[in-house]
Amino acid sequence: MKNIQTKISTTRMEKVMKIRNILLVLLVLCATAFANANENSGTGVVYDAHGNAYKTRKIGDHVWTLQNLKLKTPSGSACYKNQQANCDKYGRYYTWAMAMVSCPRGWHLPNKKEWKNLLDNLVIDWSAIEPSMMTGGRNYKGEWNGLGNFSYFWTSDAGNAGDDTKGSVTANLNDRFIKVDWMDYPEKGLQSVRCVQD
Amino acid sequence: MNSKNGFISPLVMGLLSVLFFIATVVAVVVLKTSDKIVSLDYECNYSHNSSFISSIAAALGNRTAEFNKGICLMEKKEYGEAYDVFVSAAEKGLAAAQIELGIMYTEGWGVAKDLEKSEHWYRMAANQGDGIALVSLGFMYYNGTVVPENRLEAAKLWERALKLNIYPIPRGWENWSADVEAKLGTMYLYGDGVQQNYDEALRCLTRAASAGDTLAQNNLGYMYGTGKGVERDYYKAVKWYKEAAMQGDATAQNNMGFMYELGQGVEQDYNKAIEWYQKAAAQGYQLAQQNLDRIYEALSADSENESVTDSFTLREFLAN
Repeated sequence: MKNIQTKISTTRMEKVMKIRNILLVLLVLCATAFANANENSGTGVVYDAHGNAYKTRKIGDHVWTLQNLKLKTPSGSACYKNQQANCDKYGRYYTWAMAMVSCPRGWHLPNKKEWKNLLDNLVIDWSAIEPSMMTGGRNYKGEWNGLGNFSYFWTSDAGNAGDDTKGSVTANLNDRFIKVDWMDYPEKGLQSVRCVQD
Repeated sequence: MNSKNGFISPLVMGLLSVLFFIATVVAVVVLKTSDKIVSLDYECNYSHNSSFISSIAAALGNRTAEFNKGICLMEKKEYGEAYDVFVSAAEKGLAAAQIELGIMYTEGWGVAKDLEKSEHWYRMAANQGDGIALVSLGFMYYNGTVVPENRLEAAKLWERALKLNIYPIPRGWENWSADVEAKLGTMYLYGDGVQQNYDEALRCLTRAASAGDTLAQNNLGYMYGTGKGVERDYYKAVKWYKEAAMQGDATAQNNMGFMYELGQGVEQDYNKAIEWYQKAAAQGYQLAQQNLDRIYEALSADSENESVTDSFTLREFLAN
């Protein structure tokens, strides 16, 4: 009698597991359909390894994250002036090496060409940009600066072998320009990161 | 009695001679040295009643009379002779003559162009607190010509000049205060060489913009458009951009294009945006050409069922 009861409860457990698996598959299918729908409309959401969500949008030829990366890494990244509240507001700032490996799976650090394509497809509306949108960064001396005036983003391009230059994008609210350039930034230089879908 | 009369007459005559001599010496000294005996005469009106006194004073080396003579010679375009009399008056410390020399060296009138000498004479006059010299020297610091660029020094000189009542205003200087205040306001707005100060920027730019300066109108529009130092007000931004754009300012025309494209302060209207971009682009304003290319591309995509309202802005990208 005891064995029969045990067998019955085992069978019930198997059924529950099967139903749960079916529900999971349905959930994944729904999520995929939702993601596809977003992809078709050019907008969506992507999550990093710690579950931080980023809005995405297709601009020009590529799909971009619309917020600065916030993924906390064991090293090679920091909040502005090392204050967590600033990370919530402006995202984290990364060394170039850490930026290269921090984008969500299926996404990568954009190269100069991808940045240029982005800038060619943006309406450059300096008159509407507010200082709070300029997130600054940390320079090679380890000094935090530029908040309210400049924004800096890494590109995946490295300079010539032997020198330490990396590709960087600078947005300058004071002089109203955004340009893709090279920056001589050793390890202390920390900049913002945006990602592009592979 | 006769001998008494014979003694008095030569005495009176002698006294009169002495008095005449003293009066003559005093007259010569006054004519030679007084700036007030001959007023500065920008109109070169030597036919008026003081011409006799002026010509004697000039002959005696009166610096103001020399200056007036120099101005007359300048009007006749006899620059070489004008230079000589201006040097004489300038070396006697007359600021107006020092400024004329500064201008002659800047323009190369009657002398070879020499900005260092120009700077020397402007500085001499500026040291006497002359408004025109303060403004001119300020421009030298602002542009970094002759002296190393130093916006802070330019700001100090201009602020001193703005407190003065420059009169008479030389030809071509009618808008000097608006020009200077527009530049000062822009420096305060962006913290360019001076401590960023939105209140000062607003004060200077509003005054200069109201006087019709396009740089000030543009930057005042920018302040209202971005809410820097003021409450954001797209309508005021458009008002000031338009004032400058109507005067043919390419930057302002491009900004008007933005406002119409984005529907800020005006009803969104791509045709009007294109019109303004075209006006700016026709003047060689590169950013306007890029905006035109983009809006045409967006509109052609629109005809293929992709709405132009899908255009994405840098503001949206940086919004975080």
